[in-house]
Parts: sequence; C-alpha cells; structure tokens
Amino acid sequence: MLKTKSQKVKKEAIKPHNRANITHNIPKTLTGADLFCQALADQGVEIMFGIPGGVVLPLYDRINKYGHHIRHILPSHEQGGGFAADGYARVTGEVGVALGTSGPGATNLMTAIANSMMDSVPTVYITGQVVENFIGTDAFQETDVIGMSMPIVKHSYLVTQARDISRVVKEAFYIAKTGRPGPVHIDLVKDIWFQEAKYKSDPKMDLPGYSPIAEHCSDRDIAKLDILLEKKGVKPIIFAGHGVELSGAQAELVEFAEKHNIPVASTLLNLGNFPQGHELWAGMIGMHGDAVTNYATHDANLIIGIGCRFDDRITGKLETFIKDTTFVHMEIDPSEIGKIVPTELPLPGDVKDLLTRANKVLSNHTFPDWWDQINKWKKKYGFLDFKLNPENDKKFLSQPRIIQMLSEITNGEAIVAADVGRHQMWTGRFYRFKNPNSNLTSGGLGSMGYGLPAAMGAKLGKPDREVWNISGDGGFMMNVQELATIAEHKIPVKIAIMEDKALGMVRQWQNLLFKGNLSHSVLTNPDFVKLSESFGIPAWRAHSYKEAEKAIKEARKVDGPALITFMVDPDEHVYPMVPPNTALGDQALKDSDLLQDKAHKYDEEDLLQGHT
Amino acid sequence: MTKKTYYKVTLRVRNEAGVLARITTRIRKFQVNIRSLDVAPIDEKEKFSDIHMVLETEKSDITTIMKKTESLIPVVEAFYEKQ
Repeated sequence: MLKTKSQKVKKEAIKPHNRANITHNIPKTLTGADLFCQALADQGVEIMFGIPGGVVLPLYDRINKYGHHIRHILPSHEQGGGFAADGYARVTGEVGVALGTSGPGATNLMTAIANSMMDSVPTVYITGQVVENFIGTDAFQETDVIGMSMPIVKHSYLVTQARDISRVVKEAFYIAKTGRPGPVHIDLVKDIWFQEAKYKSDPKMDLPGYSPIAEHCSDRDIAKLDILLEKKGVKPIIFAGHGVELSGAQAELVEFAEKHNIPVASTLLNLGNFPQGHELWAGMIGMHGDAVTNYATHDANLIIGIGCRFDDRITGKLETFIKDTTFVHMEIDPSEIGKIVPTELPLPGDVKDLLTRANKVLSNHTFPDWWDQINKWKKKYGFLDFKLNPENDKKFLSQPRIIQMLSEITNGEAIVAADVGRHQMWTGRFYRFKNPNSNLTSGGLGSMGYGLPAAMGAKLGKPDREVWNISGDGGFMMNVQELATIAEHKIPVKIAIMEDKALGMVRQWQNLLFKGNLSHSVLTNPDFVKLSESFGIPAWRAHSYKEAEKAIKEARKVDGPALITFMVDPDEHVYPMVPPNTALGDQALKDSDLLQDKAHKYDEEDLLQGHT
Repeated sequence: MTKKTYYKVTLRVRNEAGVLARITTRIRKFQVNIRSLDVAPIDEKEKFSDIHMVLETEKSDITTIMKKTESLIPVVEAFYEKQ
C-alpha cells in the first residue's frame, strides 16, 4: 500500500516529534509458526495441551518463545489433552485449546471433539497435516481428519497459506465461543510453518453465513407465556439445561422462577446453576433423576424448557412425555426447537436476554394446588437421602454415602469432574453443587475416561478452587496415563476412585434386565495405591466410613495431588431408574420393580434346540 | 412399498472446496437420498454458489434436517418445498 507524497507530508506536519509512528508503516513479516503462536496469544489463550509430532515440530520450535502468554502442557495421550481442554473450557468459560500431530495424533482427538460437540463446549482443536503436495498420497502419518471430523464439529478449516492463519484463528475462536458454543477444528499443513506472511493483529473475518443468534422473538411472543400460565388447571415446570450455564443466566432464572412460583427441575449439566436449597428446587430430571422430579414431570402439563434440548435421557417414553403437555422452549439454536417435542411457544434467542425480557414483560403467578401435590412427593421421597439406597452388603462402602460425605466435607463448593457410570448419576444427585461451572461430566456422549483429564484441565483453569475427580475404576483406567502429567506439573487434583472391580452401570443393566448374565463387565485392577505412589502421588485405601472420612480429610491437607480408592459395593443399584421405552411416571424405585416385567424374550433351551 | 416424498431444496452457499461435502454429510446422517443435484456459481465474482437438490425420503417432515443444514457455517440461506 503506497502512500502518496501529500499524505506523507501531512502526517509529519501533524506529529513531527512522534518518530515511532513511521516504523509501524513497515510491514512486519513472520513465519507461519510465529504467526500462529501470536494469533493464539492475541485471542487470549493461556493454556494449551498438545503432543509434538513430525509435522508440527517447526511450531514446537517456536512455542516456548511465547511462554509468557501461553503455557503448554504435555499430556500422555491426545485424548487426555482434548478432555483437559474441554474441562478447562467448562470451568472458565474461555475457549479450550488442544493440539495433536497428523495421523494418529489427530484421530486420538476424535472422541474429545465428539464430546465437546455433544455438550456444546467452546473448544478449538488443532491438528498438523502433511506437506500440501503429499495430501492424498497416503503419506506417512497422513489421514483425512477434516473429513473425519465434519459431522462432529461446528466448523473446520484446512489452512494451506500462512497469510490465512491470523484470519482463520480469529474466525475459529469467534465461531467456537458465540451462539451455541462448539468445537472448531483447524488443520494446518506442514509447509506453512516456514512460509512468511504479514502479521495482522486484527484481521477482518469473512463469515457471511454465520450469525450467533440466528432467530429472534419479540416481546409480544414472550407475553404469550402469560396466557399459557393463566389457563385453568395448569401445572407448570421448568426444565433448566446447560444453556443457563453457558449464557450466565443464573440470577435471571431464579427471578423468573420466583416471579411465577414454578418448580425448577435441572438436567445433569445444569446442576449448580440453581440453588438446591431453594424452596422452588425440584431436583434432577431424567433416567436416573430424583423420584420427585420424575413424578412431577409426568404430572405436569406445561413444560418450559430453558436452554435444554429434551434429550432422550430426560424424556423417557416420548409418546407419554408429549401427551397432553404444552411445551415452551427458550433456546439459542433454532434447529433444536421442535426437534424432539412439538413446541407451542418457541422462543429463540439467548437465554439470559430472554429471561431478562420475560421478567419485565410478564405478570406474576402462583400455583398453590400444584405445590401441595409436589410437597407431598417431596415429603415421601425427598432429596439427598438414602430412602432408595438401602445398604445391601455392609462389607462394602456405599457410593452415594461416600459422595454425600465428600459433599459435606467440601461444603459443596468444589469443582467435581465425574467420569461415566453409576457414580456419575450419584454425583449429580448427592454432591450438592453450590456454584455454577463446577459440574464437569460427559453428558451427551457419555465417554468413559473423561473424569481424570477434565479435572486436570479444570484445576489449571481455576487454581484457587478445590478440584475433585470422582471416577469408577473402569473409567479411571481409560485415561490412567494422565497421572504422569499430574505428577509432572504437581497439579493438586484430588482423585476419588469408586473401586468395585466392575463396569458398574453395565453390571446393573445385566443384573436387572439380562437375568444377571455378567458378560464382560468384571475388571481386574492394579493396586491403585501402589500405582499412585509410583508416580509420587500419596494415596489411601478406605474400607470403612471412618477410614473414608479420615482419608478425605488427609487428602485435602496434602499440598499437591492425592488419590483415594474406596472399596464399594459392586451390586448397589442406582435408583430411581427409568428403563428404556418407559414413561417417567413408571420409574423403578427398587429391584423388584424391574425384575418382574422384563423377562428375557426366549428361553435358553429353545436356543439350543435351534428355535429363535 | 412406503410412499416416497420429494422435496425441492435450494441452498445458497460459499463457493469453496469442501462445502458440498459438509452439506451432503449432514443430509446423509438422516438417511435421506439426494435424487438430483446441481451446483453452480451465481455471479461473476464466483463467491457464492446455488445448490439445487431434490431429496427423496419417506419422512413426512424435513424441517429439522433443513434447520440443521442451514445452521452450517458456509450455508447462507436455505429454501425448501414439498413436491
């Protein structure tokens, strides 16, 4: 861009003394590796997880020069790094960044990408790619990762020119964070690390097809809710989902619920966003939710979904769920409205904005008869008690009691990263989350092995908060290698393993619905205490409640990571349970509810004789 | 043989490599057959293209599929009608 002579003269005339201005006119060229690191730093990235490999070595050669901006952590498996970036994003609300080299490094990230997509977590996944001319020749460590990740990302880029780097990084972060958050995948070919291009601190984005809030609704639409709430015999209930946490609408939700005296039921990912001691709290919804909530949902005839997506885990049998029920749906992603349930009043938009407007536009309501009924259920079934969890075998510990003990000792203020399985359901119901952005769990994908790396990422994101990881032994072993990362950086995560030598949730289903045929759900574990100590992480084993309490208190005092393994009952079943194809109101509250009806379709003798 | 419904779909998309793959991946997920397809740039600058498709499916309502396709980043606009 050539400046004309008159412009040059004009500039010097205005500011003759400021010589610094003149040097900014010289275009600054940097190599692709430097441009990339600088682009990440400009986006405010503070932590990234990655494993170096052949095609990203030139980038790694430059990363340490940006150490004052970006701290790089080396995990032991790319999946661990990906889950850690996901955990980091959930606690801080910032974009999590994970990197893998080409080929196997990229394919190892796939589970983490799918997990971020299902739970709408803002993340950017970076992978290296072979030299541009070698793409398509089945080169060493080459895979078509953009093709693989297409169905599970919000958007993806294949970058072949260094001049595109700044713009692509800026667009990727913008897409990841705004609207309904999600993972964005950037694939960079090896040539660009050496190419030189001009540095742009604020490049112009080019996204004509993207608007974060795709559809809007008017205040008149919101006012229609008044008509629905004033109908005779209406029994409303709020389904609060992950959208409330992503939007930061906790205060607005409380105001909305109080204004209309409506019970608030929470999905698994929304726990911690509505105070559980509140009189309007109606429990956790779903397949393993609270008994009160499932009965209330079954009976309700007006369901107001706020930032949720009516997943099959919370609807139970769809026909019964929809029958005689009116739905209102406040949701930022218009493609989710009307996807599962027919919506009488769709309200697209950002949940925080919608609730703020609703609180101004709508009039107050009360539902004394409805609350009479709900209070009766609350009295009978309660929350946070063990009416549905009798202790079968005193030889073992009971998982919900341990989790409640942990909740009391930590005062419900810790960040808890659960893995997947029975303990995940019990953590949701018995750990009394007091703060938002504290419940980390793989909800949509349900990926085992999530807990430990996510806790690692969470602690790095919020070093001042206490972070616990509650894992089953199966899930813990899936990413056990991350103990090395925790040991190396002395990340003070407290690990609680529920050791029952079984894939617990699978075992429960096999016990109840498959006549006790425990097919491949029994595990052989290492000595977790010795394993942990071999990494230099102090560990305890608890056989009794006294030992458990002592171990938890000791672990909290340790200045660094610590591990406790609790010897728990393998046959303790999670109740309530809503089996597949069953209405929420028909939930099972004990073993005998399930063992009677669900008989096997055919007898074994028939099979041996060749009948089907 | 169950009744097949045909939908005429027009999408305005960015004219770039991989955009058609993104869209067909999204449609394939719902097990919908693309009976016919035409894609061409709409103007001289060739920044945007129009995709004209006829979808063949047994589903009576493809609103969700179209909304999910419209939410893709390279798709600028989407229109559809039953044939």
